[in-house]
Amino acid sequence: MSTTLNTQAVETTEFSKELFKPMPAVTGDAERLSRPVIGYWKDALLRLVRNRTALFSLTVITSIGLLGIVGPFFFPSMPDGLSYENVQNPDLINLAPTLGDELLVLDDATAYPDDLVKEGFNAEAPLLAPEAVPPLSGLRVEGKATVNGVTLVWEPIEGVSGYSVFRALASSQTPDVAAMAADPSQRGFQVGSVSNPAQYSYTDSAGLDPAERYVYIVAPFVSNPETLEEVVSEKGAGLLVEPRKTITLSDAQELEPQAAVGDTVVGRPHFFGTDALGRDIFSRMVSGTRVDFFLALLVPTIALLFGLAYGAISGLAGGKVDTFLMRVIEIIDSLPELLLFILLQVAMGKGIPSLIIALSAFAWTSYARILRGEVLRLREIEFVHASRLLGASTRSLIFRHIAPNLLGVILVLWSGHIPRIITYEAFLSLLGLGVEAPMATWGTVLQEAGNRFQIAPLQFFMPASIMAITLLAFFLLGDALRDAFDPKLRGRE
Amino acid sequence: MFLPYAPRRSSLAVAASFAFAGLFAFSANAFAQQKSQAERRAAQEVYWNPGDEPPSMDPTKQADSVSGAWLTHLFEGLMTTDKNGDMVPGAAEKMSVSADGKTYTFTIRKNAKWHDGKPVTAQDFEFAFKRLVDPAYASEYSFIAETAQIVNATEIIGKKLPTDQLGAKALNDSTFEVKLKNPVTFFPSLMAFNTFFPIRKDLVEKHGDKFATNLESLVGNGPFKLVQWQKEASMRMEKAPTYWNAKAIKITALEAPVMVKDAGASYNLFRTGGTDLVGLDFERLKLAQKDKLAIKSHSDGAVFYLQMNTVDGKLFSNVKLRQALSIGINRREYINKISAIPGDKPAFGVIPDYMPGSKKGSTYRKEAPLAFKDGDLAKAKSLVKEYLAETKQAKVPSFTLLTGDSSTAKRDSEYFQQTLSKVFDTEVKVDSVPFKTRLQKMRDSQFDVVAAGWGPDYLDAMTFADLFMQNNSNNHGQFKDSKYDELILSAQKSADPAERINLIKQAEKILIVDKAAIAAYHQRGRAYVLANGLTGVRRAQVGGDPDFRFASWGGAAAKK
Amino acid sequence: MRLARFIFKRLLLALVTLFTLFTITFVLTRAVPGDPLVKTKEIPEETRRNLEARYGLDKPLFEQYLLALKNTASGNLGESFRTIGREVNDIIAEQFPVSASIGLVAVVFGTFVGLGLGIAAALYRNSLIDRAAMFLCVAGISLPSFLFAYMFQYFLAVYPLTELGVDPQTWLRPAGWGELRDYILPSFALSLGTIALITRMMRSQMVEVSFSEYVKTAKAKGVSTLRLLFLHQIRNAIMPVVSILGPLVVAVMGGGLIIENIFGIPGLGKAFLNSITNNDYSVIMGLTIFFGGFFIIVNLITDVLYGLIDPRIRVNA
Repeated sequence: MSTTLNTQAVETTEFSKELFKPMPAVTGDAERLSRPVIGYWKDALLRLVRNRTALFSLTVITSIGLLGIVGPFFFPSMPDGLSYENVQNPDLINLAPTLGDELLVLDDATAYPDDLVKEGFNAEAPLLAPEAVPPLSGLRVEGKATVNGVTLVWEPIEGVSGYSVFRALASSQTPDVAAMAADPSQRGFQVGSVSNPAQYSYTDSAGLDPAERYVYIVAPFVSNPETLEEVVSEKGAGLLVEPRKTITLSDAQELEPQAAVGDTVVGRPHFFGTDALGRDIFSRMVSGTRVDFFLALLVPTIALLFGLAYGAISGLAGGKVDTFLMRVIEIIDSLPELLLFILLQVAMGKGIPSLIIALSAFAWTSYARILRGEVLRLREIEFVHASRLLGASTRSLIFRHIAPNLLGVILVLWSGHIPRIITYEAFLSLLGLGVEAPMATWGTVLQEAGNRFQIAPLQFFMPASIMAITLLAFFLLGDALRDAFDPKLRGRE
Repeated sequence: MFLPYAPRRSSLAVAASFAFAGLFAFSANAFAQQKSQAERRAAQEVYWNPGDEPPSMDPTKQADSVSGAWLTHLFEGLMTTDKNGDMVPGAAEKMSVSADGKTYTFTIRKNAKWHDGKPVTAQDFEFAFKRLVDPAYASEYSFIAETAQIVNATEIIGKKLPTDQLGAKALNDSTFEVKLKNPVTFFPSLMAFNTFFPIRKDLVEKHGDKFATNLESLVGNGPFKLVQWQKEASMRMEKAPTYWNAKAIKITALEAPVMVKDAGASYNLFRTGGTDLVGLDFERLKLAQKDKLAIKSHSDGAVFYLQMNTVDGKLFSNVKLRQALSIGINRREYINKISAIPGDKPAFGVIPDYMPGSKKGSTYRKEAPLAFKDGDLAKAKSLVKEYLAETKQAKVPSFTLLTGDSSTAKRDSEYFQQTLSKVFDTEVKVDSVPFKTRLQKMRDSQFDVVAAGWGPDYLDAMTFADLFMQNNSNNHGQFKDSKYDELILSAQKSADPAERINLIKQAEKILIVDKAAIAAYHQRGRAYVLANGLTGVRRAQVGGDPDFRFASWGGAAAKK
Repeated sequence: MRLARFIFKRLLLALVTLFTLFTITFVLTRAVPGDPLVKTKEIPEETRRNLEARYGLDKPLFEQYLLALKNTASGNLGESFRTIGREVNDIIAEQFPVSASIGLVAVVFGTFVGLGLGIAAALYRNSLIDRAAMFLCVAGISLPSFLFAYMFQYFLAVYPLTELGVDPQTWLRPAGWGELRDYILPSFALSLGTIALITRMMRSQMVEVSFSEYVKTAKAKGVSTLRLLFLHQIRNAIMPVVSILGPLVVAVMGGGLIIENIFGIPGLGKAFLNSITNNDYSVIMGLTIFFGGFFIIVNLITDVLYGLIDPRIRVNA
C-alpha cells in the first residue's frame, strides 16, 4: 500500500528548476580499481593453483612425461644400434623385478655337451623285471648348472631299456628329493628320455626359468617287448639343482670390459622384471610413454582443429549449411564407433599413422558440435553486444571476448580427451591392433603382462598402476580445469 | 502434487523388468547344472573345451582341427585308427589291393550302421567321394582326391568331365571299388581322413544347404552320436549303441559344456574341473608346474619354417643369403628358450620326425638323416660378405619378415627379427598381420621372408615334400627347381617304399641345403594336462585330435 | 503430433545413417587384404573359382555392392563364410540376446552401485569416501575391462575353488554359459565402467543441485534432510543420468568384445571378433549394420523417454 501512496505523492509534487544543483565532479577512489585486475585467464590460473589435487596431478603427469622424454637417454647404448627396450636376452626370460643379479659369463655360442656312453657296458643284458631294477645311484651335475643347460650324469644300470628324466619345481627350500623320486605324482613332467642303457648323461636345456629351482629325477625304465609300454622304476634318484643365471661373453663385456668366461658379473637392474623374450619391461614402459603421450597429445589436437573449423563454419554460416553439417555429425555419431574403429585399423594395417587416423576419425564430432554451440552462444551474448556497441573492432571482439571464452571450453574438452586415447590404445593393443612390433606401448606391455599375471603378478600390477595413476591424474586435472574455467563454480569448493 | 509423473515411470519399470526377465529366460538354459568331475567319473563322461565352434560339421567341406576332432567321433571312414594310432579297417571289414596297386576293393561290414539304424552301404561312400570332387559343392579339400590319385578326380574338379566319371564305384551294397591313376602307398591311411567319410544321400537331399548345420541332419556312423548342439556355446555327443564296435568304447558321453578360446581362461576352467583336457602355452606351462600337474606332451605334427621369397628381383633370390639365413638362426636356442614347450623339437629338414619310413617301425628321418651346424654367425656373415662382394653393395638392404598376429607369432617374429638383423646387419621389418591377410600377402608375393607352418594332411612324407613343387599353389616362396620337381614326381609314381624315401631324401637335400629355399626350424610340440584318472586319450598328428574314442576313467585301476 | 513428427524425422535420418554405415562397411571390408576364401591352406585354382561362383564373389565389386544392399534392405544379411550354412540372421537371433542380457545386467547393477556411490561422494564431499570413490571411478574408466576380467576370473572363481576348496557345484565357474551364475563374473567386469561413469556424473549433478535455488529454498523452509535428499536433490540430479543409460547399454556391449572371449560367452562380441579375423564379409557387415540400427533405436527411445519423463525438456520437431 505504501508504495502506491508514494507514487501518488511523486506525481502530485511540483519540482522547480532550482531544486537541482550540479554535483561536484567525483574525484578520488570511487572509480579506481582498488584491487589488482584479475582477468579470465589469471582467475582460472589462480583457482587452478589453489587446487592442490590439480597441482599434484600436474606434477604426476609432468614427471611421467619427462621420464618418457629423457628416460630413454639413460638406457644403456647397444652396440648394434638397437634401442634398449627392444633388446632381447634369451638368458634372462621372465625375471622377477631385480636390481641386478649375479650372472655367470658363458661363451657366446652355446655349447651343448655330447652324450656320454659307458664303454664296456653290456647293452644286450637281459631285461630285468620292473620290480627288480636296482636303485639308480651316482646322480650329479656335470659342470655348472645354468639356465643354458643342466647336464646330469649317473651310474648306468645293466638290464634296463633306458632312463627317463623328470623335472619338478622345488616347492620349498629343502624339498624331500627322495620322496619326490618315489612318488610318480610328484616327479613333475618328463623332460626327456634316454633310450640307450649305456648312456649315462642327459642335458636338459628346455625352458629353464632363471627364477626357479628344480628337482631332477632320473629313473630307469624297462619296456615290455610286446606292448612297447615303458614301465618307469620308482627307485629313481633325485637331485636339487639351482641353475645359475647366465650372460654371454659379449654382453658381459658391455658391463665389464675385463669380463672373461667363467667370471661372475652383476647384471643390469630390471625394475619391473623381464618379459617372455627377456626384454626389460621398465624400459618398455618408459619408451611406451613416449608413444602414448605422443598419441594422446596429437590425436585430440587434430580432432580439435578439425572440429573447430567444422564447428565454426557451421555456426557462422547458419541456415541450410548449418543444418546439413549438423546432420552429417548426427550420422557419424550414430555409427557404431568401436566396430568401425576396429575395421578401420584392420583395413589400414598397423602403425602409428593408421592409429592416428582411426583414433581421430570419430573423435572430432563432439568438438565440432560443442564448439558450434559455443560460437552461436557467444555471438549473441550480452557482453559481446555491449562491446560492439562501444565500438570494438571485429578483431578485438574475436581475440578479447570470443576466443578466450572458447579456449576454456576447448581446454576442458581437450584435456578430457587425452586419457581416453591412452585407454583406446590399450584396448586396440589387446585386440592385436595398434602399433607395429617391436615398438612398445603401455597397451602392448599390459597385454603381455595381463596374459602372464598369474605367474608374474608384479609384472602386471606395476605397469597397470602406473597407467591407472597417470590416467587418474589426467582425469583430476581435467576436472580441475573445468572447475577453474567455470566462473559459476566460484566459491563452491 | 509432488510426483506428477510417477505412474508413467512405474509402468516403464514394469515393462523394463519384463523385457529383462525375458532376455534371461531366452539366453540362459535356466539351471542346467554341469556335472562335477566325480559324477563324470562315475558316469564315464568326458568334458572337453574345443575352444571354438566347429566351422563346419560337413565331412566333405572342411578339415580344420576343431571340426576334425568332432567328426572323428561322429563318423567313421573305410579305414580308421586304433588306440595306438595304427591303421585298421573301419566301416570296411576287408580291403584288397590289385597286383598293380591301382585298384582298391573294400567290403563294407554287415553290422556297420548309421545312428538311425540304417545300414552303411557302399553307395554312401560313392556319394561322399563324388560329392568331394563335385564342382557344385566346391569343397576346399577336393585336392585330397587328386592326392589320392583317384581316376578322373582332377578332370572332374576342373569341370572337364561329369562327376559320375570318378573312379570310385559301389559295385553292390557292400562292395566299394576305387581306381587310381598311379599306385599310392599311403592310400589306406587317406581312407581314414574325414573327407572320405560316408555321407547319406537322403539327408543331403532333404536338408540341402542346411546339411550338417543342425542336429537332425548330422546322422553319423561312428562311435558317438550328436545329441545336443547350441551354436558357439556347447555340444554333446553320446555313445552310439548302433556302432559296430560299441564294446570297445568305454566313455558314454563327450561334451563341450563351454567353448572358450583364451588360454588363461581355458586353464582356469581345467583347474576348477570344467574340462578334462587342457593345452598349455608357455605361460600356462609354468603355472601347471607350480600347480604340480602331471604335464604330458606330444608333437602336434606341424613344422614351422622361414620361407624365403625366391622370385627374381627379391633379396632372397640369392642362394647365398638364403643359406646364410638358414645357418644363422639358432634352432636350439629357439626351442629351448623362446618356444620352450615339452615336445618341441628343432627341425632341420621339412619332413617331421614321426613320418613313417619304408619299413614298419622305421621313420623317414632315421632313413634320411639331415642336420647341420646352425647358429653359426661367423659362417653366415661370411656368406653375406660374399654376396655383398658379388653384387658390389656396401650393406644388405632392409627386408620384411611377414608373420601372423597371434601372441606366439608376434613373440617368434620379434625373436627372429633380432637374430636376422644380426646375421644380415641390416634393419628387419616385421609385418605382423591377421592370418588371412598374411596368406593373401604370401600369395601376392609381398614379403621377403615369411614365418610359415604346415600341418600334415596324411601320414606320409609327401604331404610336406610336394609343397615346394613349382606348380603347387602353396609354394609361396615360388621356389623353382626342375630337379626337385622331377624327384618328387618320380616318388609320386613309385610303388617301392625304399625308392620313394630315397627320392624324397635327395629332393629334401636340394630344398634345404643346396638351394636353401626354406629354413625349417621347429617341429611343434604341445604340452597338455589330463584330468586325474582319465586315460587312453590319444593325441594325433593327422586326423582328429584329440581322440577320445578309447578314453576311459579310472584306467587300469578300475579294471581290477 | 509433435512427437510423431519428431520420431518420423529421426527415422528418416536413421535410414540415411544406415545407408552410410552400409557403404562404409562395404568399402572397409573389401579394403582388408585377403578375402573370405583364404583358408588355412591354399586351394586349387579350379576349386577357388567354384567357390567364388557359389558366393557371388566373381561378380564386379559394384554389382556385389548392389546385391548386398538389396539383400540387406530386404532383411537378409546373408550367410557366414566361416561357419558354413549359418545365416547372419540366425547368429544375431541366437547370440544377440546373450550379449544384450549381460550388458543389461551390467548396466543395471552398475547404475545402482554408481548412484549410491555418487550420492555418498557428493554428500561427504572431499572426505575419504569421496576420494576412494573417485579413485575407483578412474580405475574403472581408465583400465580396460579385460584386465579386471582376468583378475576376477582368478580371484573370484579359480582361487576359491582351488585354494580354499569350495565346492565347484555351488560356486562361480571361471568360464561358461547356460546357467544363471554365469552372469555374475562377466557382468561384474563389464559394470565397472558403468559404475565409474554414473558415480562421477551423479556426484557432479548432486553438487550442482545442492547449490540450486530450490534446494536452498527448501532448506530455508525447514524441509527435513532426508526429504530434501530424496525429493529434491536426488530426483533432480538423476535426470541427466537417465539420459545416458541407453547409449551406455550399447557401449557396455562393445566392451563385451573381449570379455566374451575370456568367459566363453556365445555372444555377438565373440562373433564379431571371429568375423574380423576371418574376413567373414557377410558377418562383419551384418553385425555392423545391426549394431548401427540398434544404437539408433536405443538413442531414439532414450530421447523420447527422456522427453516424457522430464517436463523441462520438450522434444523439438
